[in-house]
Formats: sequence, C-alpha cells, structure tokens
Amino acid sequence: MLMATISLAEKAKQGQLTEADLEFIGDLDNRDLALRLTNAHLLATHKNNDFDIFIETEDIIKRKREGGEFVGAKAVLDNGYAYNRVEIDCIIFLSDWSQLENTRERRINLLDHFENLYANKWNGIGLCTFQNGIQNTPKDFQNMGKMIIEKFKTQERPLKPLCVIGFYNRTSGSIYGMFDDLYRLSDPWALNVNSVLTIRQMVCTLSKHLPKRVLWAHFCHSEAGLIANEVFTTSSCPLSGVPLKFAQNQLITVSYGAVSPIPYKVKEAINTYSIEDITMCFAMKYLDKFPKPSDLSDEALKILANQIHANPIARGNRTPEMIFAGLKKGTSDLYIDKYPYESKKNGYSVTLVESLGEYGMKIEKDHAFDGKTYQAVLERNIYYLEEKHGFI
Amino acid sequence: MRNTILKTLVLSFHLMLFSEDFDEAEYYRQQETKKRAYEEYIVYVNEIRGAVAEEVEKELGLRFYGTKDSMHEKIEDMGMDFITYRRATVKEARALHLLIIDKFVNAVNAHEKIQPFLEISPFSYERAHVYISFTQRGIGEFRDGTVASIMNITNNATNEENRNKLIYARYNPFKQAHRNLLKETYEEAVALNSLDPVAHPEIHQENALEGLLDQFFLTFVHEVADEFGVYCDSIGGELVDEIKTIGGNFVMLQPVDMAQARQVIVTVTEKLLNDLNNKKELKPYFKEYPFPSKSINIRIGFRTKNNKYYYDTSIKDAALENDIINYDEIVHRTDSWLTRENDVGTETYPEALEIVKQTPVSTRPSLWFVLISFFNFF
Repeated sequence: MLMATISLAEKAKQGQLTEADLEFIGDLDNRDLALRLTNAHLLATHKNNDFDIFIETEDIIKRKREGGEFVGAKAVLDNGYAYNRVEIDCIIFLSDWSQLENTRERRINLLDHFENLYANKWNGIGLCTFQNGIQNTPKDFQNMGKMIIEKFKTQERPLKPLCVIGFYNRTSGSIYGMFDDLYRLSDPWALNVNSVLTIRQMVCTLSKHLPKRVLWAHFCHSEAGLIANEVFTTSSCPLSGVPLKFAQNQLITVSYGAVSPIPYKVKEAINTYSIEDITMCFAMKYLDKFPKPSDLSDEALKILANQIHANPIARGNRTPEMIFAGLKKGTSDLYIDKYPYESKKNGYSVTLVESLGEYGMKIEKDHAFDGKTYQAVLERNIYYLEEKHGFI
Repeated sequence: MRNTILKTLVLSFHLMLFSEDFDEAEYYRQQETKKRAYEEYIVYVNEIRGAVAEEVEKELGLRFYGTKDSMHEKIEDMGMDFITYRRATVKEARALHLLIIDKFVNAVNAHEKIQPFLEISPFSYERAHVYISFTQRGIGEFRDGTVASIMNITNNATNEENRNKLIYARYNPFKQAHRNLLKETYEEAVALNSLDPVAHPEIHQENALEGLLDQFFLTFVHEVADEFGVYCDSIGGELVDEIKTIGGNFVMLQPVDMAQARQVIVTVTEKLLNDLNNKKELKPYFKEYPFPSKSINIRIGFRTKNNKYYYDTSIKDAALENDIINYDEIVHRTDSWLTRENDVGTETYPEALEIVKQTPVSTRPSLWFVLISFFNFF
C-alpha cells in the first residue's frame, strides 16, 4: 500500500495521474491522502495553463435590458481532459460594458478583451477581484461584490475601477455543511483546490495579459485569505519566475479576517482583523504582542462599560453586561487602547482594528464581511488605494 | 514540543512526496536569500517602529495600530498608522503629522544597521508613510467636517499627482465615505506650519459648537431609537464653525413597504428639523434659520435582524438628498442567482410630507412581509 501511494504521489507531482488512478484515489479511506494526491495532480497539470473567463453574450444583453450590476460568468481551466477541467462560478462588473456589447460571438473570453479594456495609457488599479470565505451562499457572495462596488460608487470620481471579478469559493452551506467547511480550515490541503488553482493560475495568466502599468487589487475574506496565502507559500508547486515577479510588482492584496494573512510577496499586503473577530485565534501567531485580559478592576471596567453603553452608536445592541463581559475577557474596546498590534513575524503584516458596535451582531461574531467593522475598513482601504495608486 | 515533532513529520512526508527537484532548487535558494535579508532587517524595522510608537504615544497621545508598506529584497517604503480619540483642525493635524514623520525619519536614519537594506538612503519623508485617524471611540472617524484622517503619499506611489503630498480627509456620514478636504505638498505644509506654528499639537482646542452638537446628536439618536426603533449608524455633516448641512445613516430592523418607508423617513427628518430649530443654543450657528429640509441628507436602510438585506419586494433604502426622496428595493432574478436593485419611486420631500400628514400609516411590519421573511429563511 505504501509503495502504491509513493508511486501515485510521484505520478501526481508530475501531473500524470490517469482517470483510473483518480478513481482509485477517490475510493481511498484516507481522505487527507486522497485530497493531497488529487490536489498535487491538479496543481501540476494546470501549472502552465491559462485561465479563460467566458461570458455569454446573451447575459450581457440581458443585463443591459433588465438592469443589475453583475453578469454571471465561468472561469475555466482546461487542459483537454474532461475529468481534469476546473470550472469556477464568477460574477463580473465592468464600469463600461459598451466595449463588450457589440460582439457577434455567442460567448466571449474576457481575457481576450483586456487589450481593448486597458488600451488607454493611464497607470493605476484597473482590475479588482474578490473571493468569499466559508459558509457563504451565492447570495452572500454576490452581496460581498455589491458591498465592494458600493464602496467604489461612494468615491467622488466617476465609477471605477474598470473591471471587477468575483471568484465564487464554493462552500457547503451554513447548516448542513458546517463540519465540512470547518474541516477545510484545519488543513490547507483540504482546501477547495479549485479555488487555490483559480487564484494561482490567475496570477500566471494575468502576468501575460495585464499591462505593466495596470495594478490588480485582490480583496479576500476569511478562508479566501488562506487560499491566497497558499498560492504564495505552498512548497508543492510554488509560483516562480515571471508570475512571482508580476505579483511583487502589480498585485495588491487586501484581506479581512483571513484564516491566514497574506505575506509580503506581493506589492502591498494589507491584512486586517477586527479585535472581536472569531478569526483572531488565527491572527495570534502572527502578532508580536498578544492581547491579554484587562488588568483594570471590575469597578473601573463597569464604569467604562456604562460609558460605552451611553452612546447608542457605539453600543450597538449590546447591553452594559455584554460590554462588561467583553472588557473583562479582554476581547473588547480596551484592546486598541492597550496594545499597538503590528507584526512582521515571518513576513506578515497584521493590523488590528477596533470593533464597531452593530445592531444584530453578537459580540464574538464580528467576522462578517458585510458587518460594520469590515465595511468601515474596506471604505478606508479603498480611499487609501485611490489616493496612493488611483483607479483607472 | 509535540507540535514541533508533528510538524516536522508532516513536512518530511510532504517533502518526500511532493517536492520538485530540478529548477525549483534554484528558485528555493533565491527565496531563501530574500527571506534571510527580510528576517534580518525586519528586526531593525520593528525596533525603530516600536521606539517611535512609544515616543509618540507618550508625548502626543496617539496609538500605533498598523502598517502599510512595501518591503521585499529592500525596504522600498515604510509606514506607520496611528489612531487618536480626539478631533483636530487642519492646522493641528498638519503639525501632528509633520512632527511624527520627522521623528520617524530621524529614527530610521539614526539606526546604522538598517541602512544597507534601504532602497534609498538616507531615508526621507518621500519614503515614509504616516496615517493618522481621528476617531470617536466605537464609532469611527469624526463625522462633523473636522479632519477625519491625514496621510502622506510616498514617492513610489502609482498615482503620480499625489506623490509627496499630504492629504486631509473629512468623513461624509451620508455617503459613509472619506472625502478630500485639502491636499498640499510636503514643502507647503512645512512652510505653513512654520509661519503659524501650533504650540501644543497634542491638545485639540475645542470650540463651543462641537460640545453643543455632540450633546444634541447623542440625545437625538437616543430618542429616535427609543421612539421609532430607528438606529443610528452615523450622523454629522458640515459643522465646522457653522451648521451648513447635516447627514446621517440609520437602520430599521424590519421590512417595510413604500408607504411605511415614507412614514419613517419623514418622521425622523421632521423630528431632526424640529429639535434643531427648537434648540436655542444652536441658533447663532445656523447658516440658514430655520434650518431647511434641503440641508438634510439622510438614508434609512431596512434590514433583517442580522443586518442583511431583504430580498423580497420590501424597501431596501429610503434616501433623502437635496429635498428628494428615493426608494430602492433589491430582488433576486428568477433565472439566476444574481440580484438586481430597482428604483421603486422618487418624490420631493414636501410631497412626501403632505402624504404623511394626510394619510399616516403604521410602521409595524405587515403580515405579508412577515410570511415572506419566514419562507425566505428556509
């Protein structure tokens, strides 16, 4: 059995598994091993493949007729074998759809039109992508895109950037698939390999298609941070040469409550955690200073809790008792006062932000991308990116 | 210890099975060299930032909370983000920023060991990024038109027109977004600061209007929450020295139809107008008195208990801007999982006010929406 596994692993890392091998692997009892083998095979077989992003022309026409911001699309990675084909659901937003509307083809490959889209000579961020974390339905995913677009709309200049693409990281749902989803976080190998492949091959593909003066900003939440991290840190089939240089010069990553922050292998990596976020446990290992329970007396904490509660905007729907419990535990409003959280351990930069009280939010659950805290940080980050790099 | 052994075993297994053996070796060597350089200089970077953070906190009361910078084989630019829980005027923000950037640059240049790792040495303001956020605890940036944040853009920014500039922003509570207040070059800022120096940039000189408005808004948001179940996300406006405009964002956690949305937005606006115009202490500060509805921009979002959109035919937002109210809904397309936002209606504020006066409606959720929400949940 061991010999068979080693032989399969050798074939997997060369991307030479046959359909029969994959069926055999599928029947293995050891789920970890099966995932590792299939993932290694997929990563190797698609190493040099380019992504295609197909949009149905009919959908573009329908969007014009019926309104709506996004158009559905498929990101496809195909190396000629049906069993090896990777397909990801996407949603696409263009600030100017007219460049794609007059096509006579049944479907178009967005990447073929990049030359036209970026024909002007401006420098700045011309492409934004985003990806969701676990326990997200398609509706939540589209909501995430909508939130990002709305933040661009609030900018003073005309609607930018030129192109926004969302890659749906398929998850198992919030009730029945919870254990499946949580399992994926326990071991990077158990990740949705299609999502890792999408981002990795996007880096490779865009390194060929995106002009040097155009920057790419990737927004990711929760597990999507781990996916992007995996792209830059995996040792099984790492990015090298041109794609890595491209990432270093043209890719900006912005993560929120990421399971793993994104390292400084990209042009600029902004990793943000809310101090109330449940994913703080993942951020801990990247911090130089650890949050500690407060050393103030109970009386002093009660006074502070009442002060916070006195302001309806700050308190959200929290009672004074809830605020006190948070302060006591050390996971609440006192944090930002006592510890400047910043870390550069192992090539990561982690920024912690104060949690903003919100109606309908339970105190330990400030993880939602559409929550008040991450929305405020998203707006701040987009403003910063606009001023520093500009959107085209 | 047990973890370390486990990790080593997993790593060995992993390497044995999956490591690449030929051209990847060279790649790993290069990566290793870069990593060693990074690991060496990052210690110095942390030392410098730690010392500057401590000094700034002690002298100026600002806390260091994060970074935004570009560091690879060399340090291209380096940044420090600060937060403070008080207001600042443009003059005070400028003085603070210049003081901090000066401390930061001096600290880097005084550190001998970091010099070989700087892309450009000596280090200057052109490569140092400082961001200061003026924040209300638990709320976010100040929303009254004073400086919400100040930052400088480094020389290796892609946006050429902003290079080496100081950018002051205010926060628009209606749009919930930063807006540029002022841009000036670093040299201009230094000149202005030396012409009219601030003796104590660590202290904000509060004016009477700030205190009055803080108290007014606090009472107002309390009352609208208690009376109408409408919660405030942000409120403020253009309120420096005089009351020009007021903007806000509110949330109501229930589904409503258009008539109910109209009732809610008109009731809240009328209360705001009445409370403002009846507050005697504020009278000298109004740009226009009585304060008109056209100077109020507010949005009320109607959300679920978990602060999500209702994807049914209920209203998503009612927004009053320039005396015109817009109503939006958000619905699912039946043929795909994409959603669409629709404009449901537009009317002027006086029209809406007249309708509310003639035919007031209850804002309690109708049975129809309760049923839709119940089935949507499943």
